[in-house]
Amino acid sequence: MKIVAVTACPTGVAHTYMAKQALEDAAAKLGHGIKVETQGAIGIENEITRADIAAADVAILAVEVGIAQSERFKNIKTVNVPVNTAIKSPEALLRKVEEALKNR
Amino acid sequence: MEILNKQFVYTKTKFKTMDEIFSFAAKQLYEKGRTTEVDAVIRGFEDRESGYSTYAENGVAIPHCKITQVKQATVMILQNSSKVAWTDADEYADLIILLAVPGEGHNDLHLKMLAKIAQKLVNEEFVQRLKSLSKADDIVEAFADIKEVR
Repeated sequence: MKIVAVTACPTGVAHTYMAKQALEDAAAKLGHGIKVETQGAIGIENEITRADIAAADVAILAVEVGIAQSERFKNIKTVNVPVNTAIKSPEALLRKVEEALKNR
Repeated sequence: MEILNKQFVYTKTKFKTMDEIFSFAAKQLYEKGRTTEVDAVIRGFEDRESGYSTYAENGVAIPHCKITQVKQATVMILQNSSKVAWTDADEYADLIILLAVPGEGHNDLHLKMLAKIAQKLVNEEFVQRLKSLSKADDIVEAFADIKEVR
C-alpha cells in the first residue's frame, strides 16, 4: 500500500523523528511505499502535498498534538495513533492498517 | 559546537530512579556551564515526562527539555548498570539519552542533529552496540556519521 504519514510530539525534538524513522524502516521491510512529514521544533519538513495524498491509500497520523493543515486529510482514510505506537510497534501498526484497508 | 562530547557520556552508572538521573544530569549541566539553574532543568525533564513518557523501546529512554535556562544544546548519554523503572507500565531503561535544548532562539542545525541522534536510536542493533561499548570515546564515535556532532 501507499502511505502518507505525519509525526508530531509535544516538544518536537526527539519522538517526532524517531517515529518517522520507525515508520520508514517498517514500511521498507514490509514492502510499502511511505512518505512521512514531520512537524517538530524545526517546523514542517518533507511536507505532504495534495498530490501525495491523492496517490496514497491511507494516511497515518502519529501525533500527540494538534497538527498544522490537518484538513488535507479529510478525503483519505485516516488512522490516528499515539506517536509511541509508531516507535514501539511500527510493523504491527502497518499490518493492522493493511488488514483494515482490505476489509473495508 | 559540541552537542555530543565525551564529558557528557557516563558509563556504568548506578542510578536507581529517574529522579536521581534527572538530578545528576541537571547538576552536570550546571557544573559544565550549560545551564544556570539546576532546578529549572530538573523541572523541565519532569514536565516533559509527566505529559507523555519518553520511554522508547529496547530499554532506551530519551528525556528532554526545551527551556530558556539551558544555554547550549547538549546531549548526555548514561549507560546505567541496571534497569531503572521509567513508567508505571513495566517499562525499564538502562540507556538514557538526555537532550537539553535552549528554549528560545531556534537553532535549526542543533535541532536537526538532535533529530538524527534520536532517529539512530530506533535501530535495535545500534542500541545494543551502544550498551555494549565501555569507553566514552567509543560511544561518541558511534555517532560519528552525524556530521558536526562534535
